[in-house]
Amino acid sequence: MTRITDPTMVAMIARAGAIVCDIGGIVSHPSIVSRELGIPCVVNTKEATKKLKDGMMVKVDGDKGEIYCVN
Amino acid sequence: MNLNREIDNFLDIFTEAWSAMDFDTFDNTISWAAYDPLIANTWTKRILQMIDDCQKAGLQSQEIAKLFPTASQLRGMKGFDLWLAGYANVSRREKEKIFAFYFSLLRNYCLEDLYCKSKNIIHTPEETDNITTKLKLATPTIARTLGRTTNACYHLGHAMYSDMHPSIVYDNYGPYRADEKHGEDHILVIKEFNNIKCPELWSETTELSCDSIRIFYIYKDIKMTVDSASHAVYIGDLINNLQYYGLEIDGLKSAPHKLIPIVKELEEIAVAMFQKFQALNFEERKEKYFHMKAYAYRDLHKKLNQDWRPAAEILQEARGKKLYTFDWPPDIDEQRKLIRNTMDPRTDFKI
Repeated sequence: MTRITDPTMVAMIARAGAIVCDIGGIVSHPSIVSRELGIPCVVNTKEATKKLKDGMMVKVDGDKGEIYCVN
Repeated sequence: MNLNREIDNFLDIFTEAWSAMDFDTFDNTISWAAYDPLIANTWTKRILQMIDDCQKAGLQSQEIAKLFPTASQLRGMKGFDLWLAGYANVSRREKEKIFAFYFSLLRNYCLEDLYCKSKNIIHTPEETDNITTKLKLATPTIARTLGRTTNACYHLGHAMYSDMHPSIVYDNYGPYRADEKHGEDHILVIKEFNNIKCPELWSETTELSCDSIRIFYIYKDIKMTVDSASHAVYIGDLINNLQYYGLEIDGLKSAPHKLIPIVKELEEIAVAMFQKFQALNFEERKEKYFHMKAYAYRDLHKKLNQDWRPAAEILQEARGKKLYTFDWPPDIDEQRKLIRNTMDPRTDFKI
């Protein structure tokens, strides 16, 4: 979860289960790199970094563009 | 060539692709709209001179096109140079000359869909047939290794040449038909990563273990599109639907396990170079970015026996200037109109 991904996150992204960003679109960096790894990604949430906190368990549905808190 | 029709076709396709980007994502990196207008006059003069020099040297369009790092970079430079010309003190005739130059290169390089409305095709059927016969059976583990490699190279391109010119490193070619050899709903995709070593801009890349990687993919039930801004979009599961693959490192056949140390090395260097760039002061940052931009023409300038680096007058034009402030209109139709007007060589649009 970040405002937007950048190259400093390359190793982190390789281990991530999903990517969630405040901004971005279908051709933005997080969308492109998540497709390559086959992990879900939701961009343009506007406020994910405000609403989600470290340690929260979430389920990310990249097809629907939805994020669910599971705990 | 029907110039008006070609310009309209180019503007339709480029406007669609460029307006699909979220411009807020460039806030922390580089935006062409903020940096490029700072060198509009001297850069455009250089491009016009380069076009004349190619003609004087008798270079053919196909030969010139192949001196660009990738097809997507060539398309990108057409867009960027016309955007820049929109801010320069040049005539409509000179802007149309830039348009026609790139049109001729792309027409002689791309086999279809010149401006990449949906696909990026430069390989002949003979070349793709030859590729599809040499591939190996894929597994999800191999697909993930190739995906991680692709991402390492994407990040490297971004770090080395900015988010505006990552196609100096990478391009996604396809979708090519692979149904004859592999059955219905199969496509061939070719990913190329070049210019991984760039000692002219980043001395730390000199000792990297490779300079180029090519990956070939046969996918089943995957829809792939590529746009004129070099973005590949896939619909479908790239991990489980990868059927066959091929890999070349520095032109030699290789195996996925050999990628593991290379990927680690590329990821580390991508982080180091991005941080180094971000730490530059404002004037250094502008100069570095203009060098990255100029690097796309390195091989062409070498062919012309010229220095590829931006001339002193280009750097001088930007020196001491604030970034061009650009407030993108929130309305998408207004954004499209602005992009279209700025790139249109037939207008004298000035902001």
